[in-house]
Amino acid sequence: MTEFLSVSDGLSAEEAVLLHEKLWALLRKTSEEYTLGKSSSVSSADAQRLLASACFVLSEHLKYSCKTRRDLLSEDIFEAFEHGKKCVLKCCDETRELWKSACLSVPKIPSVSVNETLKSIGEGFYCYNIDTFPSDVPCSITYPLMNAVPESELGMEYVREYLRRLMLENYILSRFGPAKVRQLLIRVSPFYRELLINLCEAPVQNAVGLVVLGKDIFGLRISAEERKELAEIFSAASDGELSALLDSGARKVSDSLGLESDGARDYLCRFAASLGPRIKVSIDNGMRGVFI
Amino acid sequence: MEDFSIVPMASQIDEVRVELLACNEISKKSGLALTEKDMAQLVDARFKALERTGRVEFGGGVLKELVQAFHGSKYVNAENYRDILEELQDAFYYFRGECDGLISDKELIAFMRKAFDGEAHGEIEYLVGTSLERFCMKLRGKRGDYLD
Repeated sequence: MTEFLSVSDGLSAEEAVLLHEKLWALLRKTSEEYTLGKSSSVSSADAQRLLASACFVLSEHLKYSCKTRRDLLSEDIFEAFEHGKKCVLKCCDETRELWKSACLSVPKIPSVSVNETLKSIGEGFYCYNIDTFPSDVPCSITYPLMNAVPESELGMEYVREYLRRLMLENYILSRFGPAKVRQLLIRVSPFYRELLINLCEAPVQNAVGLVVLGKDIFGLRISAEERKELAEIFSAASDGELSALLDSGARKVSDSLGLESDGARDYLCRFAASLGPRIKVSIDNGMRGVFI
Repeated sequence: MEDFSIVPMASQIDEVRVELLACNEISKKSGLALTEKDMAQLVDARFKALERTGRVEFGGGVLKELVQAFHGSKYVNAENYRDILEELQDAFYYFRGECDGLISDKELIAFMRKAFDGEAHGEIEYLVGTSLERFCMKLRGKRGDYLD
């Protein structure tokens, strides 16, 4: 959050100090509201959260107004903050709709973590504290994504981006046969339903492996012999060749799955690209843990 | 998360000094006044106390409230006025953290004045080591918290 106060984007040192002063005036008001006027001071931890929240709300104001931090120097900081809160509320509404769609798009593959995460997000809309700590994520998100949401996303923006990615994964997963996916996940662990594992990773990983071997992806099973073959292919590849193999593999998987959305294709390719380091580390171990 | 910078704003320092100047108008009735040097030392002590106790103030501090509450105490005189204020300020921020959410600034300062003039007989060590410790334990006991 102190990036908000840094000298960058053409903001001079003097302008950063001015912005700092304005932000402090805003924080004086929000901390007074937080303590209900009963305390002149707050703990450092609470001050941290208040500052993060103020910067988050002001960033929302700037984003939706297409303005820069320099514009804040000539604006009323309190009005900018109120406008930012309205933008956050709009984000809440959009996120709520996204959540409803995500709940409807959950694949027929049982996962305690998916259900609990969606339930927690739904409850989070009622306890989201937009007035004091809007940068907090108001729910417990335990289900891990293939491509995690960056920590730089805050509050409802984080939740919205999480749900957007979850829906992409649900869409990708829905293109595989559910029975084959369940069989694969049982091979990952018989207790997959209760574990914090991503449902989409193993099918996509295997699909990429099968494409590299030139085989049909929908069986979703890679034998020990095929793992050995993949180990030989990947161990002979340089870093650049490995990246190219994974990229073209991901694109072929996207074609085979009939993914029509560019977002879903990019998402799958991004995940495949991240497999490189894991593949290199697992070559000596017979590719176990990557291809199942 | 990045460390929160507690570097005071220049405007905060100015604001406190202006408040202390106004306090001299109140305390002169008791024959007490802070010099410019006293004020600078108290302001510096305030930010050190905040840093030490892990607290942050975005606005003004409590020096004005402490002056208003304590200038009339029979245990405060021209010789010990600045030192007493500094120690009271230190104690305030420490116990503010210990009782966070349980009591307002006003109530804490009111208790400090009552105990200072009462059971502590003007002894800061007794106020801090006994009166305030006991008071905080009682507050936390009411909430159901117990100190180890």
